[in-house]
Amino acid sequence: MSFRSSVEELYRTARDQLFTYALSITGDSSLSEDVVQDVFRRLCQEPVDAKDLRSYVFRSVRNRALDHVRFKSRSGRPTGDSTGWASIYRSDAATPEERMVSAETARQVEAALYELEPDERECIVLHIYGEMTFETMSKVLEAPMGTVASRYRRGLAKLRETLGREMP
Amino acid sequence: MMKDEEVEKLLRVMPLKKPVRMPETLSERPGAGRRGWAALGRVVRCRVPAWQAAAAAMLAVALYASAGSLFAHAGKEAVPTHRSEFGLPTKVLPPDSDATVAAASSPVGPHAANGTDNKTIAAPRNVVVAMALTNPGAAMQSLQFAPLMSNGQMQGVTIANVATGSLAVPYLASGDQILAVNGTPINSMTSAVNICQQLLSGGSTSVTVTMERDGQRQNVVYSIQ
Repeated sequence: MSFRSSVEELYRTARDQLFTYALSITGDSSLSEDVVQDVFRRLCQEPVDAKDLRSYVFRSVRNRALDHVRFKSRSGRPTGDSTGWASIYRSDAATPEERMVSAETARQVEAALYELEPDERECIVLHIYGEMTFETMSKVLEAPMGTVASRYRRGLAKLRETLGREMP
Repeated sequence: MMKDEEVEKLLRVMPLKKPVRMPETLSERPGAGRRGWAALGRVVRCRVPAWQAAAAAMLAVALYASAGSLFAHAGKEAVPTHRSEFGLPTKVLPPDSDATVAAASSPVGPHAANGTDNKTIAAPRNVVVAMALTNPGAAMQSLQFAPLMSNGQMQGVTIANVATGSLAVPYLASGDQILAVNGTPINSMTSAVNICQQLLSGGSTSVTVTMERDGQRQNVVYSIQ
């Protein structure tokens, strides 16, 4: 498979996951779409010799999203949509499975997720929504696998505690 | 009390937000596969505010007026067809004028270089005959341009294409970047309008154009007679 085909396949399969990941970092839907598209545009223009293309793309999206967050915090501009920080969750459930989650539960999960430390939230998002193993996550986050796993467990424990309080 | 597995399960069933503008596949990207001027057109259409495009259009017309007047016609020579089409009046210089002498000693442009048109004097860059431009529409067909953008800010005008036979051929080339006129950077609507008014008023006796060609920045001074 040529490099271009690999990139196209990755875009097709991981587009939504990358968007969710970028959105969890930036809190801005429009910016997150730009970040993902910019990474793929550069990838098409300048092919790279990456052993694990998926990890490489997730890492690129992460770095670019963090750059934007740092730039915005330096320039004093608010991050996020006009209403504030944009959630990674949809407010309008479309599928029957999604309708099983009540609006109140969704709000509680969202609040609990955004109470986590950024690195903990990243691990939760990558593992749950990016469907990544801890090994792949360690490549994306450029951290030891044990560190990544402990961040995930710590984040999950906090979520369990918060949600357990609100949803006994 | 919830278990870890229950929390994970709950997280997995949460409805995720989907991207709105991103296409399904890379090949569906707007402009994918376009090359050259088509791609440039897309960039200009997407990123250049309308008022800056309008300012660039006005400036290009004014620059064309200056560039088009770089020709002087000696004696009883015939007026070039395209010049009469633009409704440009010609100013006849006496054969022994300074401009003619300067042109003979340092010819510039294809006419003087190949000697195929002995009746046309290609004036050197420091000589210009001020002329009025009465048909901007026809001029725009001969000289195509695009606003020069950097970090969302207009930095000047890029000459996109100079049509064959255009009066501007000897002096402007595709890729030239006009950055400032008379020291005024072309970076806003106000500056562009001021430059246009200055050039078209005919009151000034010289025009200094700051331009960049092949990465070399240069100031070109045109004396208006």
